[in-house]
Amino acid sequence: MAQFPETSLSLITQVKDPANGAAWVEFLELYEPVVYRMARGRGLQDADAQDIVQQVFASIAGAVDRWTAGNDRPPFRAWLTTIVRNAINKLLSRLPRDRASGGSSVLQRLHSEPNPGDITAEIAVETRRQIVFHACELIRHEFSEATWHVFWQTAVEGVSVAEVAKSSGKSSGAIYVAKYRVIARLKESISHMTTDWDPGQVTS
Amino acid sequence: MTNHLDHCLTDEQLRQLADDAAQFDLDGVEQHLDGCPDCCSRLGAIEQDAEWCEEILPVLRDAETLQEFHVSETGHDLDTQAALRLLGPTDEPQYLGRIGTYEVTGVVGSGGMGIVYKTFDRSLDRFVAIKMMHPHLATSAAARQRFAREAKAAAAVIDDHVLPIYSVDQWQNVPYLVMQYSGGTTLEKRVATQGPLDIPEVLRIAMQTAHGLAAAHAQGLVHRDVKPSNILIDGTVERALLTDFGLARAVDDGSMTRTGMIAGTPQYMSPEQAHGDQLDHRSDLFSLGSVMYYMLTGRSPFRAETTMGVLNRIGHDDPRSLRSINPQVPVWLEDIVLRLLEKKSDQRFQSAQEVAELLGKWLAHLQQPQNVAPPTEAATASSRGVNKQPSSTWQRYLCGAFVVPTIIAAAVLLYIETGKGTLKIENNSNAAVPIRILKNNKTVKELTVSTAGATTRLLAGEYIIEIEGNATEYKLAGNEVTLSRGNEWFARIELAPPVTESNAASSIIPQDEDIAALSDNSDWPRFEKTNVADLRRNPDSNPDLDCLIRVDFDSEEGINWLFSDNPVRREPIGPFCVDNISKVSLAQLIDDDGRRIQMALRLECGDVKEGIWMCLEGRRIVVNVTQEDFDYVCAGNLLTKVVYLTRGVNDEEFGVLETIASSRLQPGVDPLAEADRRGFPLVSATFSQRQANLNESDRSGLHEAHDVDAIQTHSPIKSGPSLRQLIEGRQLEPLGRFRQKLETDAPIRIAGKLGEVVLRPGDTRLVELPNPVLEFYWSQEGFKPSEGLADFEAFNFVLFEWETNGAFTATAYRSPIHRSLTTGDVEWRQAQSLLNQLLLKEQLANLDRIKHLKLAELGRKEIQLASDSPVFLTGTETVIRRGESILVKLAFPRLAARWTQEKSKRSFMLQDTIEFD
Repeated sequence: MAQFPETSLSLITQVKDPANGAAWVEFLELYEPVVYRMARGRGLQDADAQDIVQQVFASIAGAVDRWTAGNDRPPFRAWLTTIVRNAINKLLSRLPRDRASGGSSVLQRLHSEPNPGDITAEIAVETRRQIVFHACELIRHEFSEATWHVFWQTAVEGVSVAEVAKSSGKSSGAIYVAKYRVIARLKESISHMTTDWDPGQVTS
Repeated sequence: MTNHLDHCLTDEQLRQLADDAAQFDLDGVEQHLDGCPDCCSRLGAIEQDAEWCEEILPVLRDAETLQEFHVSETGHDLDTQAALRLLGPTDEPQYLGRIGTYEVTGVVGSGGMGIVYKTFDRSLDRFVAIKMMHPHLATSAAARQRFAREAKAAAAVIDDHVLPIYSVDQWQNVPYLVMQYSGGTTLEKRVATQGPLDIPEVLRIAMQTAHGLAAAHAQGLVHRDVKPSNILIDGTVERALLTDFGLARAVDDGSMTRTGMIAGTPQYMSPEQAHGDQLDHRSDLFSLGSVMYYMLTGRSPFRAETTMGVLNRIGHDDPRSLRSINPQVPVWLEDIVLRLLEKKSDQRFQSAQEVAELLGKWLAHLQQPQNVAPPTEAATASSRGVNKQPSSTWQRYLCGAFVVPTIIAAAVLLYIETGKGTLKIENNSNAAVPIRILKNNKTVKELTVSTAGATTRLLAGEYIIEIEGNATEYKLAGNEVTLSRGNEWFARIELAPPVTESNAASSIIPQDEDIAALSDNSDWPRFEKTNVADLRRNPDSNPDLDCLIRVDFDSEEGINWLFSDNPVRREPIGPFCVDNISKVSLAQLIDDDGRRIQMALRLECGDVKEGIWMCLEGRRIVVNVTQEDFDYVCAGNLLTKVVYLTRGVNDEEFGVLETIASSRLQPGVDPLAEADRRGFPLVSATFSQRQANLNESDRSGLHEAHDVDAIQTHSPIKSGPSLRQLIEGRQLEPLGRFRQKLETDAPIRIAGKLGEVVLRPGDTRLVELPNPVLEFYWSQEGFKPSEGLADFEAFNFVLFEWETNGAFTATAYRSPIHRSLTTGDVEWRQAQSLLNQLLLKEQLANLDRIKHLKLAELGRKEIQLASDSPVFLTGTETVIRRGESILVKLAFPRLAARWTQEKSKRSFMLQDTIEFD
């Protein structure tokens, strides 16, 4: 899987088209939680984090027209990262005064403030997470509750097949199949999303 | 399809199974797999590759954490390590270990009393939480027994708002409780992450907590440790659950025997607890009051740097008025909290049930003001502030300090000899009372005391306090002097005890060696009473203005607010500015007597990207503040230090010195105006006495502000900007103005979405709000927010211009950036209601055709279109044509949603559907 989805040209073009709501929605579903989590991760409360999200996507909605592809241009990802980073820094410098605090905890937080490179990496990590989550959400309805539960218990929580077979009353073969099908579908879905948003790095 | 697969799956079939299981007879495959380990392992291979193991699985494993969007807390790891050492071995690889028969899946938290694990109860197939006493507390058998006994008593309490305890047991001689596992958060975390809660939520949580307490009290059980971290907020239904009944006492046993110290935080203890007296259930009510205080303000009522300090304050001090911290708190609610916080238990409410009922009534009233009348029983606190008894030592100190006042014709003179303390002046008359404070026959401070009273801080020395008004009698009592006319007192002066914490704040050394070194530098260029022009280090340099930064400083409290009230961003940063001030630091040196010896403000420029600003890269700008300055400020003066730096400076001009000096401006001189006249300041720091909501524990030491976002740069112009030029430079669009006279000298608060600006009378300045103004208010009660500004469309700049008579003119501006966050044909429009925003895009016709845009109350707005052109909502890109009646779900709610405001938090709720008809 690619480390970060470089948004595909076709999708960027679609996002740039103001009439194409679907592309925008897809774009948002991927990136909104990323920005939100990063903001929350910096200790912002929900309302502030929402504000960041709003600012970021307002900037993007406003500026996406100006971004053009080209070898000498920054990739979309870098451009996006810059917007997110700026918005977060901006918000951090404007925490409401009621939450003013000082002393060691604030110093600690300040000192732990990642440098721009870290933020870029963090965005990459968060986006990767988001892709996985999003893929889960997309495919989950394709499977029965029971199948999903069996998958989760065995594949994620690491409960043995025999044990799950016992507790669920299914045959172990059924559990192997269920797990196999969900994982395969999940991988496929992730790969689709990565392809959609990252045409240049599919091969990597 | 065969009913039974009698051969192993082919690769092709494996692929098909993944792609489209429908074409398979799954039963057959499953049966085959039951007896074919080879095929099973082939299927299993799908979770062996790197993509799954490294990219996907860790994310899924993390899912629970991520869904709550919590970041793991720092310091957790050490605790976790210690916690894990307690566990017994387990046979199951997916678990961390075992406690009794419970398989541990993780460590939820660790507190003063014990460690909480998330465990799986196999016998009942459910997750449960296990709280295990810290082993070091469990060393004494008495403590262990008590823990078990209290826990068993607590387990008998059954209530919706008490976390159920399933059983009590021991593991390796350490007692533990098995409790319901609750996936929620604690009240402490909730407030820490979200800030003060809104009033209904406070009422609800407090009411539920009181119910929980009532259930326990009914069984004769006193909780003893009611505090925010012991109140769980159940995630799904937002139900408050009280935990840890009675355990505090058990822990006291354990820790006392060990260290002789009190375990945990004493901040929510009752006075009787702090004093070590006998407790009854009313002690919990005091703690409940503290918890309510915390919910409303984000901090506990009694804070000090040391445990003893806290205990002392609990026993003797009145908490700072709730409403001075959070003006949204209604009077009746403050009364309830204050009654709970009565020092004497017989003055409090007498039962938790009573409290729960009262809160429930208020909650019902708030939720349905039309249908439910407010409760009639008043929670009057019997003695609030007025009759408070000073501590005995202080009283003695003051008795000798007051000298009999002399009454002269129009003024009352009081001699006060004070070490150092705060003078509180209360005013009982209708009008504001002017007061003059003299020292050595020189006026050091003049202030007008409104009915809200005033405080001022005085350094050592003899002072004369002159109060205007004809007093016919005076009364000296303890540390108070009361002035009366007829039968009514009109002024009361009280010398408050010296702040206890200041003793602890001694000898704080700035932690930043650079600052210390700079502060010690005798070569530090200082321009004390200089003409501003003398400050120019290089008279030949370009007199263009680079930047102006203003820092407000509170002589009493320090500068903590700097963190949030980001001065760098708030102030009119002119057309010229340092491109990238990355850090603002402040260090102060305090001597043994608690006096500040030296203070330095440092601004650091970060990596600057281009052109003329390169010279500032990495430069530090230090504003030196001397003791003399402090005394000047403490005497009530406004001090402005200005650092001047000309545009295009380079190292030749500056020399090697990183410090660019500071100078004091005459009071009343607006640094901007001065800069305009002279044409060159860089940094000015204004210090004045200022009451701020500050965290006492952070009063000293190095204070460091966080990164500042890049400030806009503009091409320089030749002369320094005036306020007018700033407005023009930003192309601000005036929306309207109004003039108003202030009745008090209380500050004006202007709140935008992301924060607020406090403006003091006389403060002529252009205020930028980070986001459009949604609220505009005076912090004084009874003062109506001006309708004048509220009539304007959302604005994000306000110019305040003051006249000498206390009147000001406010002009609201909107920046073009805000007006049209545009590209192409997308344009922001601000709705008229300040509580609402709506982004509209009108594609075919220009925006002027929307003649009327009005947001009514919740959820409805009317838009009259002058043409048939469709309206576009961004986010959905939905096109609404005339006559259409549709329900629009906004795919991008942030941009097009309606915001409703929760006043107490100044945060906003989103709704993502808007109905059109």
